[in-house]
Amino acid sequence: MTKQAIRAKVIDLAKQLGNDARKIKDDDVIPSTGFLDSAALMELVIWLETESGLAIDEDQITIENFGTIDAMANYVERHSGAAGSGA
Amino acid sequence: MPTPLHTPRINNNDDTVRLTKILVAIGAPIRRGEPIIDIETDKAVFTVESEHDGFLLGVLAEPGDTINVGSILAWIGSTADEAMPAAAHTNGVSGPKHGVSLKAAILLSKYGLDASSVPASGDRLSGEDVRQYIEAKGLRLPETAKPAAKSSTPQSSGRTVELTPVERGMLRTVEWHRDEAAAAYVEISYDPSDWQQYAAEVQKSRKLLVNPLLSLLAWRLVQLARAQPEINSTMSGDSRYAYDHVNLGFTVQAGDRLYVVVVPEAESLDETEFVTRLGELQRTAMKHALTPKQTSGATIAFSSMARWAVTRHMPVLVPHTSMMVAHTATPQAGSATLGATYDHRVLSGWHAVRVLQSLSRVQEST
Repeated sequence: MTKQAIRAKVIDLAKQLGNDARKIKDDDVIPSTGFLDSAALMELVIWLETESGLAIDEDQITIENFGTIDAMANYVERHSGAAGSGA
Repeated sequence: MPTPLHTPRINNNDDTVRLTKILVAIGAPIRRGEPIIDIETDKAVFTVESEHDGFLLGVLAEPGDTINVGSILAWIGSTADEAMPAAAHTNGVSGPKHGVSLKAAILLSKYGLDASSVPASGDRLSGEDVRQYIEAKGLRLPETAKPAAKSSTPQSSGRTVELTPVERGMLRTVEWHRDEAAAAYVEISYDPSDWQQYAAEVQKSRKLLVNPLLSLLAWRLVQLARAQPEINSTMSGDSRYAYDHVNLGFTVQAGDRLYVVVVPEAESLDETEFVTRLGELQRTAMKHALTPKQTSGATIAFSSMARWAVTRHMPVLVPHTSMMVAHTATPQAGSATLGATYDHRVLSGWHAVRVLQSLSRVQEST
C-alpha cells in the first residue's frame, strides 16, 4: 500500500464531494482539512481494508492510526508486514 | 429417511414469510450450508440454507406463497428418488402408503389439507388425486396475507424490471407506511452548537477518526425510548404493543442502496459501546455484507441526510415502529432542524415534539 495510492484515493473521494484535495500533504490531518466527511472517511477505511486485506477493528479507527496519509501507510505496513513504500 | 427443513422466523413480529425464490432444482444434490430458498418479510430477506448434505426432494410452497413460520418448508433426502413422507404437513397423521408427490404436497399445503383425508388412486398420493378432491369438495384457497396493492399499468412503452431483494424490502417498507401507519410529521428548530461541541470533545478524547455526532444523537434517542416506552411501541390490532428492548434502526446509504442497520437491545450498551457497535454496522453496510439479522427488528429509528445538505426530509417509517427521527443539515450557523415521522395511531404530535426537544439538548445525555 503506497502513500501515492492512498493520496489518490483521498483525492478521488474528495472530488466526489466537490472538494479539490490535490494539494493535500502526507502529514495533513485529513478530518481537519474538511476534504472528506464522516461517510467518506469510512469509505476510505473500507478501501484500505479491501486493498490491504486487513480486517480493521472499530476501536482501531483512530486519528493516530488513520488521521494522515503517513499514518495510514504506517498502519498497513505494521499490520501486514508489507514493505510499504513512500511516494 | 427424509429430513424436514422448517420455515425459520426472521422477525419477532412476523408469523409468516413469503417464499421468493427456489434456488436449487428439485432432486439436485445439496451440501450442508448451501443456499436453498429465498424468503422475505416486510422488513428483511433471508436465504434458507440446508442443514444436511443430501438431495432436495421437494419444496412445499411456490414463489409468491405465504407460509407459516415453523411449518415444513422443504424435505431433504439421502437419495434423489426418496418420496416425501405423507406426514409432511399432517403433524404426523399417517397417510398414503408410499408418500405423496411434490405436486400433491404443494396442493395439500396450499389448501391446508391432511394427506390422510385425501384418497389416493395408487400407492402414492398424486397431484391429480388432490386436485380431484379439491374440485369434488368445492374447496377454495384459504385467505393468507393481504396481497400487495397492484399498481396500474403504465400507458407508454417500456419493460418490466425485476426488483432486487433490497428494492423489494424498500417496497414492503413503503407499503407498510402507506397501508398501516397513520404517518404524520413534525419538526423543531434548535441550536446545534452544543451537540457539535460535545461530538468534537468525544472525538478528541477517544481519538476517533470519524466525528461521532450522528451516533451520539442516535444514542440519545435510545435513552429517550427507554425512558418513554410509548415511542418504542407499535400498534397490534386494537392495542399498543410496547417493545421489551430498544432496537435502534439507523439508515445507511451505501452507494445507491439504502439500508436500515439495527443495534439490538441498544439500551443495554453504554455510550462508547453503542458508538462502536453502530460504527461496525455502518462499515458492514457500506461493504454490502449485512446479514438479515443486522437489518431486522428495529423498534425505533434515526435517519440523517445532512451529508447531502438536505434541510428537510420526511422519512418513511420502518414497519412496526412508531417513530423515525430525521436529522438534517445545518443551513446557517446557530440554527438547525430536527424532524420526526411518527405513527399517529400510537403517538400524538405532542409526544413527537417532546422527543425532539429532548433530543436537541445535549446536556441530558452527558
